[in-house]
Amino acid sequence: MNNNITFGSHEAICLLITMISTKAILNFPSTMAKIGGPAAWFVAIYVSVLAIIAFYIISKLYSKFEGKDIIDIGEILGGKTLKILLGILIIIFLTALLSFYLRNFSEEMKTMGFAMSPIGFIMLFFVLGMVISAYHGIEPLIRFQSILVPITVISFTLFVIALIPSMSIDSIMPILGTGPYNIFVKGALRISDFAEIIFLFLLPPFIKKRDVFNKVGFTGLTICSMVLVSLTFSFVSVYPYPVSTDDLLPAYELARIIKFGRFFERAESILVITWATIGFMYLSTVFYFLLHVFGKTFDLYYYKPLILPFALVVMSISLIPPRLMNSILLEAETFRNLAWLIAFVLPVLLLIIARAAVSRKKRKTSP
Amino acid sequence: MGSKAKKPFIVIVAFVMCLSMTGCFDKREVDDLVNPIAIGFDKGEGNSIRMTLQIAIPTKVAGGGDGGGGGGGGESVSFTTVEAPSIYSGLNMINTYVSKQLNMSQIKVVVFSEELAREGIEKYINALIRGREFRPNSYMLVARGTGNVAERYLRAVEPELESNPAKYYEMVLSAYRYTGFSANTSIINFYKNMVSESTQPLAVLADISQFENSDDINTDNSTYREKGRDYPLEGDFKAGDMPKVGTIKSEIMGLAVFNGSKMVGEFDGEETQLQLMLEGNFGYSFVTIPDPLSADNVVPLNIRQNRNPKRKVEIIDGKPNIKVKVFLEADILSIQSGINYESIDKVTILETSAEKFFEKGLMRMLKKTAQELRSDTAGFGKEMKGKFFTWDEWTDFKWIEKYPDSKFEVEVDFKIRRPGLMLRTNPATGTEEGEQ
Repeated sequence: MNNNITFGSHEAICLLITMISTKAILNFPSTMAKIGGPAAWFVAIYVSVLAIIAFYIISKLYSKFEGKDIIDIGEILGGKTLKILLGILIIIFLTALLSFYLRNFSEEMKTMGFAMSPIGFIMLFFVLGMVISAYHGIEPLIRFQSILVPITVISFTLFVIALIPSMSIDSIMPILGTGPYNIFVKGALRISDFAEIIFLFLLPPFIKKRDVFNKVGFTGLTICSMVLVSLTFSFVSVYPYPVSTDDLLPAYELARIIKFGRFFERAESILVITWATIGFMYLSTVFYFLLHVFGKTFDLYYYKPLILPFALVVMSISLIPPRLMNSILLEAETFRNLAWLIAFVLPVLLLIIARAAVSRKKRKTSP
Repeated sequence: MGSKAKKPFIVIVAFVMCLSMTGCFDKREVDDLVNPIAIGFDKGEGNSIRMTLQIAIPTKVAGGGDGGGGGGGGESVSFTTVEAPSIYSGLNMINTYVSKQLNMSQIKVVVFSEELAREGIEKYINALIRGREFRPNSYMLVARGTGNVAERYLRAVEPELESNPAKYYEMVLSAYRYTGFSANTSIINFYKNMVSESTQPLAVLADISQFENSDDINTDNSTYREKGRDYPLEGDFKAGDMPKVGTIKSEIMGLAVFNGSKMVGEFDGEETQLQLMLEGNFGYSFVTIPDPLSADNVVPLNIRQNRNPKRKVEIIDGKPNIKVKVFLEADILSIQSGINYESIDKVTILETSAEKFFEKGLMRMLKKTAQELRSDTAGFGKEMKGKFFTWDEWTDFKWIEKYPDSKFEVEVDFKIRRPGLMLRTNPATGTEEGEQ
């Protein structure tokens, strides 16, 4: 695999925003509402703070491994065996993530605007995008995101502003929602909603420098937190609990109520385009990194021959859940309840052991 | 990929992308669609509903008022009524005999008959919320009376000033901003309030005029006697009872009050204005108050609500104690008695009288919601909800059950700001009785 490509902090931040904030337009706000009730926004803040603290710890542990991703660190620690084991774990994680999101994006796109189209046909639309971007490699993908993400964030800000007249502070009461246990204990598991931070641990070979890594992490996570918290707040203040728990597409439902006079309404039609664009960026990035990790794990020089078989595998897996509700439940309840182990616990453990091993080796070699 | 294979590959990919992006499975020619603008539900036989669609005829709507072709609602719309077990099965049935496919995304108004509303409309609201084509901002109406009143109302809607009936509905139903006689009762607001633990839903009352010509006009159905007045004011009517005749038969005035999904009562025009004041949604309106110094005369004022009301809810001896302070401003429109209320020393008499007038009205209306309707239409539960820390504590409190025992304290702060274009009223001079 060719790791000669380097990109700066802006590009990497945009990538991180795409990966983590995408769920703001999917089911993140309603998931938060299911946990925290009227205090869903508070759960979103709590989870964001936990993710930033976790990243702070990881960034400290990462200090000795500048330019190395977690697969490299695995190799340093346990040679080829650990590298392959670690690689397989990440491949499973990325395949599951990609399959769930491919299905959910496609199904929700069908619900919003393509009611008569077969799900496979809509899915093909996203898969083609993934395949084409994978053929072109990471550079155009990153460049595309570095242009579109700032535009998307500005559009998102306007979207939230347009919702202000429909918001009601009463809707976020009682202030502790479904209770401290749900917020602080059950909510803690939702740190998994930041599991896409794993892409940051795959980026060091592309961003090289440690200070860039830290800057990308903290800035990216802060922006993502702002996006997720503001949309969750908007959602629960517009749709009071328990209505907030029954919406399949929170962002779509919010867009449907935007209305200025008789001349501006049906903002959801703009959202459908934004939705598809974000979907392309998200799915293409996960797909590229899936191929990248596979290639790196098994020391493959070319990844392009893997594109079509992998696209087929991912598409087939994503069609396994018999209905959309199964897919959402699997992603929100099962996958997200375990994703924190791969995204946070695994890197922390790996880095602690690797640091100890490196220190011991240094001590042995020093006179 | 070799350079020879690359070009055909790109062409194929572009072709497939184009097909996907145009959504060929979902293509629907605009010309092949028909857009109902209003839907009405009446009670059918057994568990069925009788559904009426008011369908816009695009050619007539686009024709505007040319040669008298447009303008008449009867010409720019068509009607159909079907009896079906559910909304969607009814739509399916209509699709069999209407040449174009129904597209519900232009529905502006959903009308339920009073009979259906009193039985409960939860299942219909859920269906409307779940359906992607129905707009959450469509207005909810309840047609008064018995029988097929929703159908009767829709068929009576004949907009004269608008060639586009959809625009007519939008204009008429947003007129509450300058009349205060209806409210923004969108489907989504109705649904949110229907499932809420802290407030109850409302819908606009609709009916058709009961008078055919001017000689028939009477105020027998006015609510002014219940309020202890000697004569009716403009807000003392509900839809269908307004003392008016004309080519426009349809009327909207007042609100249908619900408890959960079941209609339990009605507000007249004045109570609707007071409801808007309690919510802080009263824009401005011409309101007539009795002249404090001349019993036979009235003083019309242009009233505005420029500040949200102050609302406080406390539990005293296990019962809710609700305090409301409403802030109103007004400009004088007319002084029938000719008394100089514009002067600094007399303006306070008018202000105090207006304060008492509104306080009395608000107290009467609030007691009606608690004791008669048992429905917290103003949403005082929202204030109460903020006093709890968790959702379980709040739901265990059972606000909706406690609201009927509420005690109310109402205060109105009323300020007359401007006298219109006249700074004082000069009496007419003459030798006839009553003139100076």
